[in-house]
This record gives sequence, structure tokens and C-alpha cells, in this order.
Amino acid sequence: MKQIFSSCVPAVRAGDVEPVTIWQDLDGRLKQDGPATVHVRIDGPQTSLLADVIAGVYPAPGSTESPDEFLPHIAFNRRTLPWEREGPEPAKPMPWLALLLFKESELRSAEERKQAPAVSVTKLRVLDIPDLTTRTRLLNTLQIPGETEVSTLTVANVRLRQIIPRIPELPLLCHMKRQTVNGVEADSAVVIGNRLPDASSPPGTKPELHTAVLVSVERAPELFALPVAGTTTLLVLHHWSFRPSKGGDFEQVMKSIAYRPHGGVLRFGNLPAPVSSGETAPLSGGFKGLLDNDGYFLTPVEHDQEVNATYRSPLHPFTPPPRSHGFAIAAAPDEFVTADQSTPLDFSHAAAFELGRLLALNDPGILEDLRHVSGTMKPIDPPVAVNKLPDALQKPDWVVNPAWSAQPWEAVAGQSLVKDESVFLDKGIGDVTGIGDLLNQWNVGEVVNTLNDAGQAVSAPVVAVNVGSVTSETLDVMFADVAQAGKG
Amino acid sequence: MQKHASTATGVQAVLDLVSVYTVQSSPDGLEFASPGDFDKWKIEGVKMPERLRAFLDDLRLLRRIPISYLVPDPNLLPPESIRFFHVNQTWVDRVIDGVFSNTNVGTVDFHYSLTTLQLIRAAIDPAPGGMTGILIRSELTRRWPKMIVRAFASASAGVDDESTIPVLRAEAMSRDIFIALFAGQPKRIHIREPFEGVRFGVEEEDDNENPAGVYVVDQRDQNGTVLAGEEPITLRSTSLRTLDVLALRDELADRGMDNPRGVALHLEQRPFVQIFLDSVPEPVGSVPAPPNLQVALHNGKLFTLEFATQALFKLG
Repeated sequence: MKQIFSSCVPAVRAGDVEPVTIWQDLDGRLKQDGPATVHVRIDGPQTSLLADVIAGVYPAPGSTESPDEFLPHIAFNRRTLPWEREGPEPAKPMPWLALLLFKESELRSAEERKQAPAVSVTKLRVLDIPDLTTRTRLLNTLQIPGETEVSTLTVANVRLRQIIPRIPELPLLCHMKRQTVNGVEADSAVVIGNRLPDASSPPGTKPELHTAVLVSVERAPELFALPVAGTTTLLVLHHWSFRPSKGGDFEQVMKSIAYRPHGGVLRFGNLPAPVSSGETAPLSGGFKGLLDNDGYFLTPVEHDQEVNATYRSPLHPFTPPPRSHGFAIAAAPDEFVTADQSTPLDFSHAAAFELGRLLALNDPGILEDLRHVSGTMKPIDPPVAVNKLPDALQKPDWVVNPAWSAQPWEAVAGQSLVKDESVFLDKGIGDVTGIGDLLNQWNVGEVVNTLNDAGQAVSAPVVAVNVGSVTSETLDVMFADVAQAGKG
Repeated sequence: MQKHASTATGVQAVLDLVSVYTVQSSPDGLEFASPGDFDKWKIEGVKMPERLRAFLDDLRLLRRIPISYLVPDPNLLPPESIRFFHVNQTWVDRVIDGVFSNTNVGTVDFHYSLTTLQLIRAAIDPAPGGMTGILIRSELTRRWPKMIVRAFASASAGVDDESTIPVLRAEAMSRDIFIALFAGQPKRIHIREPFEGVRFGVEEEDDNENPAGVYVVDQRDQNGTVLAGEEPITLRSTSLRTLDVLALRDELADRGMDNPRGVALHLEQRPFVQIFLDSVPEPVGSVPAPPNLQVALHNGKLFTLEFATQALFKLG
């Protein structure tokens, strides 16, 4: 999204001194004044611009294709820059920057243009500026130190009067732009020139070189009421040169393609000329053509081969035949060599094969790389649990599938660990293996009763046995219950 | 028990592997048909140096191919023309085959190359469903080599995001030839003036009713939307081509736009987008120049083809 604002005036202008007084007031109960008022002066560009302040310029420096219907402009990353200083009219908020456009011939004589190809500004100390009015303004009005080196351009008043914007036009040629991309706002200030480039030129010559110059008009009303005679030295903050074009803009060039004798917007193989009355268009659209539907030349291209060779481009007017799944392995097949000379032979794919071979041969690096091509193996499947019991002993229920562990009650391929989900749920979460069901099948109540009826087992207390003197009789006495059970 | 390798088993192994390919005759000569069954090979991809991959990717997109192989006759692409085409993918496959033919030095190596080719063809194929494209030979390429191309599967606007067709390549091939390739067959193609930030300017009323040097701008509303009318541009000096910005401001007063914002909105020139639709009859792609050489632009203004006869026919 893009928004345009008429201006972005800072709260405090650059160069102005702003008093700052500090105090503290806590809910009316504690009030304390700070130290004496501090005076702060806001700093900002005045005699030159750093490169990172400039977001971009149009036309591009050195370009030769900008249509002569487009105005030059410059954009700044600093959104307040054009309004940061006092303009030529102190009573109104007014930009202090103006973008002027000069033709090369307006700045330099024919002799000078022969000696150097481009316009350049002159670096001078403020003290050395020959123009008294400008020097005085910079030294006294703007308080710029005399040793400061600035970029200047001296222009004849008679021309400057004609091209410099009028004072009320200055604010109309500046604005602030806000662009929102992916939720991020980016602001920039824009200064537009008021003069269109002139791309006219005598036949056989290029349009004249143009130079866009960003100048300071800070507190300089005299620049807008210049005498006709004399010259004026301008304080230049940025400048660039370009050569405009008379060749129409993008839309005009695009639209013109469809009109003959231009080549037209057509299917590949068609010519920009309608077929004669009674003729059939070889391709489409009622146009003459060079190709047939399969992309072959209607009139074979001349060649010096002994056989009846033909070639067709990989670019086809219509959908090509289905793609071959095969791989060519030779560029000079025998059937081509032995074919009758009258047989039309399509060398297209053979030419492509040979072209690929030669392109690779031409690059030793590619030849080396061809030795380092290998397939990548499929990764081994992750291990799964396998039942090691013999098949005869296996029951489907015993197969353990890792997929069941997460949800054992879901029937995976009809082999759930839990046969009856409702029973499982009734038993509660602790009975996850179905043991209760199995106990019921075994009549667990009877088992419990049998165990209760068995009574308590009684054994004689264990005594020490002397292995040196023990006999079988002694053991029978000591372990009578065991001996009795063994005999039974 | 493991068997020792022998001549017999080695030959049999090679025969077994090669037997999955079908040897057949084709217009290219002897050709091995691919089994088309990757599962048998237990191979899922191919590993190759980045430099080789870039080289092969370039070939697939017709880079490095001399223009004479693509356009064998200059009349296929005359000056100031745009041509739409389909790409014969088999032809490009053959170029790749030729590259890898440099590795074929023996029977076993030869087989390995076939496997590799099969994997590589799958790995570097940007348009398995077919490839189409446009060629532009025009002043457009020389002056706007970074023009922006987009393609859509739908002829109607409004569903652009859903129907975008990948633009595989869009670049100047030479000083005045531009190529764009698409992964599929678009029904709508946009060619847009490259975005160079905001531009400001005027438009010349270049028709028989107005003398040269009469300029206008499109009327805009407060949101910047273009309206049907236009605002005249007055020049302070016709010879020096300086604008009378105050006059433009005054023209905008009746719509409450007599401020820097209104002036900027009216001077702003937006990038032009040329739309090609497959539903437009082909004969309108090449028509005789109108008798008065006046051609309508998108906003209804006219421009003369006279400049074209001077500026564009310099192409050889």
C-alpha cells in the first residue's frame, strides 16, 4: 500500500536552537525543578548529503532510455529532509530544496563540451565562492564556516530565471511517501523537478546530455528575483546526468509491435503477412508461415549435406509429440549413414545430442563433475517387531504391532489386543491387557476356593545339618513331609 | 553358502540388469527405453556437484544453446516481434544425453550412465507437464531488459494467486531478444514495465487535433484512482519545457486537490502492464498500420506510430 502526504514538517527545524527545561511533578505532592534550561540545536544536512540519505533518483544516472515525458526526481530516506530548514520565504513552512534540470549546452560552451564529456560541479571553500551574494548568504545568513568546502555550479542568470521554480511552486514539488510492505512502513521524501527533458536532436545525433541538480534555496529569496545580467553560484547538494529518449514509453513500444511492418504478436512460425486470396494458411490466423504444424520448414533450409537432411527447432508452433522416455546413446546412427539420399532425415535430435556433447567437452570442469555423479540409496525401512515363534504355534492375537501400542483398543487389520472395546472400557484403565476376561474364562472363583480349602502348609523348623555325620535316616526324620510326599 | 564370482555369473548379472531396458530403434537411432520403475533400483535420487547441476539446469532452460538452434531462420523472429511457442522436451533431453555420452567408455560404464540419466532427468526436470514460452525481439528488450513476466492458468483476473504458472526463465538473451519460459501452458500472460519506484511525468496529446507539445495528465481522485477525464498541463516556457505547476494546482482546486499531494498524485506515472490472452484471435496480433498512424493507448489517448518508424526500424 502506498500513501502520499503533502509534507512532513519536523517539530524543530534543523539549525534552530530549542530550549529544554526539566521538572518533575509527582501527583502535586512533590515538585522539583531540574537544572537550568538546556539549549539544544537540531543538526541536519546543510551543505552536502551523505549517500545513505538518498533513496534513489530518476532517471538513473548515465541512462539513455528515459522517455522525455518523465520529470526527474530524487527520493530521500529521511522523510523530513525537504522541510527541515527555512525556505526562501520565512513566513511560511517552505522546502529548502529545489531540483533543477539543465541541458549540457546551458552550462558549458561548445568548446568546453568537446574537452570533457560530462558536466561536473566545482568544489570550493565558502570563502572562495566568487558570487558575492551567495558567499555572503552562506557566511553571514547561514553561518557556515568559511573553510567549509561545498559543491557549486555557476549558471547564467538569464537561464536560471527561466527554469527555477517560483517560490509558491516549491511546496507543490515536494511530498512525503509512505509505502507499507508486509506490514512494515517505509517513509521517504520526494523532490520533483519542474522541467521536462528535451530529447529532440538533429538527425544522426544523440539527444543532449541533461544534468539534474539538487540545490539549496535555504533563506535565499534573492534566487527568485535575479537580475537578467550576470551569473549566480548555486550550492549543490547532489547531481547526476542522463540522456533522455524520444523513442516512446513502454506502452507505446509494446503497442506498436502489432502494426505492420513490425513483426507482430504471433504463433512461432507465422509471418506478419496475410495469405493471398485462395491460399491456405500453413499454421494459423490466416498468416503466411515458414513452418508446418510439426515445426518442419515448408521450404527446407539450405545445407551442404549429401543426404536429404532436415532440422527443426525445439520451439514448436503447436504441442510437440509426446516426450520420449528413452535415452539416446549415439549421435551418428547407422541408418542415417546407410539411408537412401532421397529419404528426408531429421537431424534435429542428433544435432541436439552432439550439441550437448560438445558443450560438455568444452568445459573441463563439467567433464570432471561427470565423474562424480551417483545415485543415493533409499534408506532402510525402520525395524518392526517380529514374532519369532514357529508359524504353527502362532496365533494372530499374539502378533505385536507397534502401531497398536498407542491405541490398543483400535482394531488394526482386525487384530486388536482388546476384542471387545466395551468390556475394556468397563474394566477401567488398569485392566489394559484383558486379564480380567481371561480370569473369568478360567472360573477364577473356583480356583480361589480350592486354594482356601488347601489349608496352611506345615513344615518342621529348619535345623542345622552336619554334613559330616548326616545319614539318610536322619534326613528322613528331619524332612519327613518331603520324604512322605516323594514316596506318595 | 556364498558363491565365488565367476565370468558366467558376472555376465549374467550384467544381462539381468540391462534386460529391464528395451532396446528400440527411434528417429535418433538406437535408443534404450527406460524401465520407468525406480523401485527396482532401490535408489531415490541422484547426487551431483552443484556446478554440474547448474550446467544441466541451464540446458533445460535453453541457456547456453546458440540462438541459431532455437531460431534457425531469422524470419521466424523478425524485428519488433513477439512469438509464442511450445518446447519439444525430447530435444532438450537429447542435449542432456549428449552431455552424459562423454562418460560412455565401456559396457558396464554405459549401463551406469543409463541409470544416472534416468535419475537426472527426473531430478532436473522443471516442467514435467510441458514447457511453453515467448520470444520478444524488440526495442523493449534493449530499453527494458528487466521487464517483469507473469503467467496464469486462468484467463480471468482476480484469481491470480491461485492460478499462477511458474515462470522458469525471463531474461534477455541478447541485446534485443528476450525469452520467457513457463512450466505449463498459460491462458494469460502479463508483461509489465519494470518497477523502478515511482515516476512522475506527463503525457503528450499526440493526435491530429492538437499540435505537438500539448501535454495532459490523467485525472485522479483522492485515493489516486484514475478517472475518465484528464487535466491539462500548461508550460511556463514551451522552448525550455518547464511546467507551470501553479496552473496545475489551480486546475485541481475544484476537486479539493490543490495541494502538494494532489499535484504528486496527478503527475505520478504507473508502470504499464501488457496482457496477452489465449482467447484473443491471433489475427489481431499483426494488423496494417492505421492510415493516420494513430494508435490508442490504454487510457484512450492516441499516439503516433511515426516515432516507431524512426526509432524502431533501426534494428537490423
